Amino acid sequence: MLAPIIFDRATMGFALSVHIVLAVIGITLPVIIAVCEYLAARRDDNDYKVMARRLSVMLVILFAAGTASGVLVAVNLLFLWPAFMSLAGSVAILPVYIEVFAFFGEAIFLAMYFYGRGGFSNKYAPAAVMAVAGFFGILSAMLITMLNAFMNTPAGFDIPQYLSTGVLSGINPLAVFNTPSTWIEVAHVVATSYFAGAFIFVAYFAYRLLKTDKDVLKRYFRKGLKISLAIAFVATIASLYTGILSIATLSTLQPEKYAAIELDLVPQSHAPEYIGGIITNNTVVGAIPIPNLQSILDTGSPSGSVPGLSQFPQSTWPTTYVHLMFDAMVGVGFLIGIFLALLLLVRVVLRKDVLKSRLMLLLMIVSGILSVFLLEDGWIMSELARQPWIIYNVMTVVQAGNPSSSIVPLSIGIVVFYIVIIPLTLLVIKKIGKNVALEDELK
Amino acid sequence: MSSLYFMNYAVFAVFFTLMTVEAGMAVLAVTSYEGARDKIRSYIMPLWEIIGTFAVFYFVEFEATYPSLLTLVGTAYILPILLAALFFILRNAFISYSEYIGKGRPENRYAKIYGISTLVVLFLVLSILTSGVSGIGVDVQQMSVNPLALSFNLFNITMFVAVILIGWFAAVAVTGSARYRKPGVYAGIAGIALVFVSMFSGAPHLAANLQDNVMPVAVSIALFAAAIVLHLKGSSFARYVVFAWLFSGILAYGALQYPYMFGGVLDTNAYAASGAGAAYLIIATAIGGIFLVAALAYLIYVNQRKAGNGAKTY
Repeated sequence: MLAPIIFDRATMGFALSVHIVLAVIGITLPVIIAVCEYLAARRDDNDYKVMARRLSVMLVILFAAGTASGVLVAVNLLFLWPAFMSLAGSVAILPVYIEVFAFFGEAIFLAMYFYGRGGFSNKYAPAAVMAVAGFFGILSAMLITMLNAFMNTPAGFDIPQYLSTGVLSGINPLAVFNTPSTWIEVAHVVATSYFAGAFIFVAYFAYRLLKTDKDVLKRYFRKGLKISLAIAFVATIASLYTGILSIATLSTLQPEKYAAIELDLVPQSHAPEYIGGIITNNTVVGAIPIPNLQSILDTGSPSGSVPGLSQFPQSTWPTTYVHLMFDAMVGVGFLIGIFLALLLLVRVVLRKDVLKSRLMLLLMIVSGILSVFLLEDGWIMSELARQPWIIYNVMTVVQAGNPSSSIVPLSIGIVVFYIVIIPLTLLVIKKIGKNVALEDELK
Repeated sequence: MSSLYFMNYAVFAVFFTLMTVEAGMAVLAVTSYEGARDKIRSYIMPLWEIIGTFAVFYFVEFEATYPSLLTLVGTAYILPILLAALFFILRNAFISYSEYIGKGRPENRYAKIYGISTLVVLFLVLSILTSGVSGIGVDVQQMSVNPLALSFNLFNITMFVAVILIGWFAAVAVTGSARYRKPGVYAGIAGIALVFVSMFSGAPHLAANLQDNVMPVAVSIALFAAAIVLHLKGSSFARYVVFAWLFSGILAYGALQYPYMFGGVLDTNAYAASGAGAAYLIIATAIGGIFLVAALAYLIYVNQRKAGNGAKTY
């Protein structure tokens, strides 16, 4: 029989892996709809009007599923990790609490957009209302990320006192807003949320463009694709920049995590960057080293020192498989970056229409799929690399978890429920989309 | 009453007021959706997401105001909380499906599934809440519950029936339905009577507190009487009084319960947030509450403009 903690972890991981995809769609879609509304109002363009309307139906249904899955994640936090929530509830709850108001803001402004239609006095108001809803959406993500940053770099209470006596003292509830890792983590989450969300719609519009041979539909999908690609371009650059900053801070803030991700067994100068490889019997095996590169990336100098796992007790080493996940993330991100640069080159320098190329459209679909892989791989890698800690150097996952075996059937129930509800939601969206033919709406 | 307890219960009162009215709408959706479709939808559609958000608000607020109780709640109430969350997902899913699937059989079917899911959520939420009041089915020392005893006891069942009856009256008054005008009033009176019956039989410690809390109870009963009179006269003002009555009634119930949980064995003051944490929570709630009221007022304003004032609108 597996230990309940395995089910705690698996259930939380599964719930988050589903929620995170719904969340990035919920964050990006309001931006796309707001742009559509703005262009529709400015150019009096029916294509954008129809696009805003159809995407908003998709948004309301996915928002319903996303809200509900967010509730499930909140419930999971409480009953899977009661000891963690008890500590966080005393020290780091403010961002989660304020997030509820951001969530209210999003829900109210979405309600205003959907049910207040026909009640605005300015033609740009629907775009503005949706933009405000989008702002509250990303604000929610930022505030929740602050709790995660607290887990990585805890602050706001007397940690030595807590570790020796178990008593919380010296509590500063505002410290959670500005831990050493808060703002870089928030910036990276914002950028990657728009990155993954935009690429999902790049893939969607590219797929629909590939599948149609009607001019009116092609025109429509090209417009959607252009908006999504524009957001994807900006978000990719921002993701790359914040990603580099994020990894650079790890070596000082979470040296164990850094060492596991970089596969560093011992602290060293002139550290090579390892491509691939694993650690077996305290030896790095199968890696391709690029001399000095890691030292240069982390410290700016080939002779710079980087931390190693040997500086820490072996019992607190994270799994070093996170190195392979990190390599996969960087590699795939690099490929998508090259693809976007290629698109830009063909469009700007060669003056060719990239949206007419089947190959390019196919690559956009692949990029969309890979962006979701990147999103999942990135956060799983980041969470695994903090293990065995749930709050770094304060509380382990085992200490925080619910030890009750009653978790097991509940965990299975949650997984089965998601497996039913998500495909059902997608089926309903598809069915609703077919109720009124897009072609008729565009005429 | 401590300020944190009041704040916590006030948020709960807003949530449960909305939930009670929604329960009445859910009964209408299950029993007579075709006939009451437009009235149900005009209330539920702009609000269902906001009601759900209030549920989350209360949940997170409880985590913030009573962090030391989380281990107990998180460990003991796993099953009912999780089941409530799953049926909440069904509620969300099917109300949104029904909105866009188009008129006809699928919409009716989805609306009925929404109604049933909402009532199941209500039953589970009430099972948790009533056990928090009475302590029935809860072993505080062992941090465990007996799910069957928790849900299927006379106190909980009576309260569930009472909330359904009160909710039905509230829904009839809010939608201004002439067809169920008098039956609605009878249901409301029966519901209130059942609340008192359940209190005297299942939570005598609350009944014992009645004489110390005459004012809040009297205010809510007066508002109930006003709601009945306005409703019977067919006044559109009745709906506002119904909300005020439900809100004040739930707050009064909280006053009777203060400061104990689980049949009087657990003093909530011993588990409340304190110091700077409590102060910031109150500040955040005050600022957030002002924002919330302003945003909801703007939502109502936009909806009223939509109803038509002659000006060009978008």
